[in-house]
Amino acid sequence: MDDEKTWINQAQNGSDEAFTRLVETYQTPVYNLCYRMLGEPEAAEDAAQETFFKSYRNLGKYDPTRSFATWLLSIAAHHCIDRLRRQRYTTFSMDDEENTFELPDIHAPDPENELTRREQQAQMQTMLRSLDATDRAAVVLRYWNDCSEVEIAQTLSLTVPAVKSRLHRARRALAKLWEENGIKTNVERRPHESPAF
Amino acid sequence: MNHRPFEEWLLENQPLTPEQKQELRDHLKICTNCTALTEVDLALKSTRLVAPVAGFTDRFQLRLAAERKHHRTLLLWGLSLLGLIVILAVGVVIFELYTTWGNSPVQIFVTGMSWLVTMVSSIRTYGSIGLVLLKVTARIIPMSLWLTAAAGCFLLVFLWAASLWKLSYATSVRRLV
Repeated sequence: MDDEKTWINQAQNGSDEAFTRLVETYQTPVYNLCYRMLGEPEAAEDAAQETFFKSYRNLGKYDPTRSFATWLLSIAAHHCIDRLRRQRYTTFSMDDEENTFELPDIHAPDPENELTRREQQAQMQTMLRSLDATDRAAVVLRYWNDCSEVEIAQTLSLTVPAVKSRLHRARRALAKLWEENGIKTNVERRPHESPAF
Repeated sequence: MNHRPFEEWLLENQPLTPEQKQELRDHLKICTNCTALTEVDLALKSTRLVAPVAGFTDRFQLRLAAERKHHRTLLLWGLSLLGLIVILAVGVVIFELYTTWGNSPVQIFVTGMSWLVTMVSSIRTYGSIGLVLLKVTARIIPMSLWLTAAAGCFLLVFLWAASLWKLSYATSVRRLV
């Protein structure tokens, strides 16, 4: 954390090396957000690069009292939402999943279930497409970036009740699709996550 | 059994008492909506982060260098244009001085002033001509035609701006892909 503050300070004073370290640190969360939002690896790469480029240009406007991650994800989320609104529609492809590289998880499920898990991931990605751009961003920030409702509100420039409402609506919509598609669950809870019941 | 509290428990991810947990388990056996909600929640929690293809930082640095080069090129063009304008202006002044070379300072001043007066009066004359033409044509051409022409101009400007925006967006996407 102290390293991060030092890098931000150095980057604000014109150090490209310090900014490169910030890019290295945040490339995966930013890329993941863009990928889950846009659904295509090429578009996600482009959006993630654009996010870092925008943050580089506007680093002087960054308020050090705020979380850098939230600020960065906010740029990425707004960029993706704008892009989706411009496109009006997105084209998702199941094959795209194969062109990406998932981070190895030390708690990975049984290799025998890997194929089923990948299929579910692809289905989940397809289901995300049905959500409104802002709802999708809220879901991605909540589940993939582990953001709290307050952080999501800051990132998406919404109120906390609005975030709650959007998350509830999105989860209901996803559950409806899940039920309609008759997807059988084969998921494993990550050890650090406590069950709701 | 009332469905509402169970859905709220699931959506809010509230901590539940052992009794509530048992009630929820019983409810899930009969409610497909709440089961789907639970399964989606688990599926979302089990998904992993997707990382970019290796070399993301290198590609960012390349892009940054390309943007800087583009910015430098634009700056160079701007400065060149400004330099050209300055050279032309200086050239005009030198030419005027050369043609009046050897004359007295009063004559140079008079020549300069007459040149300035000619310029100002020309601009005013052209302005007056334009106004007269506008008044004449305004009387000849009906209002409906003016409105149509204005709407047409507005549409053309809008199309021009939209195509420029599309072109710049497509170019930026192509450049990055």
